[in-house]
Amino acid sequence: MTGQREAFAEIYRRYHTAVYRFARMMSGSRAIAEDVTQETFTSLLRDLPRYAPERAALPTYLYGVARNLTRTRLRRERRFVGLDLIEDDEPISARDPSIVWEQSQQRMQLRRIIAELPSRYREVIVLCGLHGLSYVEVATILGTPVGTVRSRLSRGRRELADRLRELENNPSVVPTRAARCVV
Amino acid sequence: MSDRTESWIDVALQDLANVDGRTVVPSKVKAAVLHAWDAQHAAGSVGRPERNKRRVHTWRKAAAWVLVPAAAASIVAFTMVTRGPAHMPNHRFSTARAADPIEVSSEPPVPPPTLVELGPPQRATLRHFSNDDQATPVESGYVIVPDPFSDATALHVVRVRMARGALAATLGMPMIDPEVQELVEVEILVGDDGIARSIRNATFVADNTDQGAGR
Repeated sequence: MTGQREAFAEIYRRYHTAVYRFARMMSGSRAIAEDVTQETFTSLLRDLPRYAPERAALPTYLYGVARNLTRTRLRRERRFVGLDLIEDDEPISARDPSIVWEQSQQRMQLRRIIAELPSRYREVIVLCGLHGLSYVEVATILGTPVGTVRSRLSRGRRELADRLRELENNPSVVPTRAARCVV
Repeated sequence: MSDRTESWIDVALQDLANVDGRTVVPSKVKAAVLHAWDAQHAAGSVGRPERNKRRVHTWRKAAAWVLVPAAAASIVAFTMVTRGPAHMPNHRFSTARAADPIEVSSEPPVPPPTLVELGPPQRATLRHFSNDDQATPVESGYVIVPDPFSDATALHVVRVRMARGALAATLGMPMIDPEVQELVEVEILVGDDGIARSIRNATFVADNTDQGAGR
């Protein structure tokens, strides 16, 4: 039984960061991401006998569980969640604080814009663009055809570009901390 | 969307992914997950085949469907056997039980006692409640009912005359043949709140209204 525990701990060690990052980008909340990560692996623990490796790889399965938990959590919290983690976690190094700070600000803007996208676009951008998953894997996670993933990604990137362009033309429209994460 | 914008988005997303890749998940999450593992392992359900789980679940359901109605029926039967006859009004006058052996006697059967015969008055107390009473008690008897009051409120004795059947109907007093039309004089202990607490004395009287009317 000790070996099983070690195996489960190894599964957690491999995938917990990806699950946490995904939940954080999807929810915009560090607290929700922590809860979702914990519930994802707890549900894996509970439903491990029902897991069928031939249907989906374990990371895909975990992403799917995390997606459902995040959506449920956001829906339960009245469809809107305050973006409390838009701040960049990257520590400011001593090499050139001004450049690092500027890059950090750009990343914060990008996070805000991604968080404001509709969830159907946000999840494909996060999974494909940030997590590097293939279209097939994302389609398995979302339960949609691959073509749908392609079209959503294309539209999502186009909307992302429009908002970035709008931001360049009019910096005053930068989303504030009151920005909301639309489910 | 231009190629320049496409490439800019790719670079920005890649940069964001690199930063996010260094995200550190709080250690409390891992502690909670492993604690859940330990708790589930302690419960002995880890690694159990799903088929066995379903089988146990089915057996539990079947057992519940059988045992719950059986238990309910047993409780109802037990209640009816132990409590049912005791709440019958004339239970204390029953002379034989079903399990009692039947005794054959040559003597004529004794009729069951009636409430009138329970207490033949050694000293008949004749009371006149008012001057305009037209009924005179000519046959009387009384039953002393214990006074089960525990509260310390003041009590008043109220004497009333009522139909015999009202004893059973309004006061819940067990009585044989409550349909018989007779009058009863009752002393009722009434509290300050106007609620009757007990019956202290009940005297049977014969209605001589006709006699009084004839006078």
